[in-house]
Amino acid sequence: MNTYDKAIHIHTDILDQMYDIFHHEEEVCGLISGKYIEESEYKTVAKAEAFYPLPNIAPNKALLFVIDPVLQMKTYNEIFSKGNVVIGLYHTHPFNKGYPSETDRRKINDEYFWIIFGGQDLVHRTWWSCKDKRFLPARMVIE
Amino acid sequence: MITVNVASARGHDSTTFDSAQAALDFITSTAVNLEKWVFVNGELIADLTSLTLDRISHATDITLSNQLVGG
Repeated sequence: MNTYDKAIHIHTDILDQMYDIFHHEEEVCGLISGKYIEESEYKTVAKAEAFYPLPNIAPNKALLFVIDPVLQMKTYNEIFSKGNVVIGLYHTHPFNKGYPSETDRRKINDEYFWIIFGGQDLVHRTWWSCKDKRFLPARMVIE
Repeated sequence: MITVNVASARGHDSTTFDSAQAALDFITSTAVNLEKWVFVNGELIADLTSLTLDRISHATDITLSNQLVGG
């Protein structure tokens, strides 16, 4: 049986930027840019370069996030213009832990890292989203 | 020829269509089935029924992008 190894290297400054936008009553979200530094069938290692907080436009922000599409597109273009790619998606669960929800799983539409910060235990957890709508546990290497 | 760009986390892919109808069919089916936002000339198209063949034919940039949603 093959073992997956998905790891995102991230500097504490970037992690702090994510913690800084935490809200106790509403989900917050953003994109993580960077580069993949190792990729094979079972192993993926990425290095984060920057965090882009983006507005949550969901009608019920306590339970959902929808990243503002116009700013998302603008952010994509900015990230690509710097020679980077989107390596991750960050969001919070104000009232739960950082495990993917059923909504998270259903809405997967790309392969990258998900960092979910849980307001219940104040712990972030890292995942890899697969196009077949699965999440794999991933590692965060804090630099 | 009409080019439709599809943006994902890794960049843009382009698909070219011979007719506006083929492009419109691709745009609407992809947007609905794969949950994509649609931008025409940089403008977000909130109502896909507002997309017409004429608008598609004269667009200089058509881009689809993943809807980033969760809970």
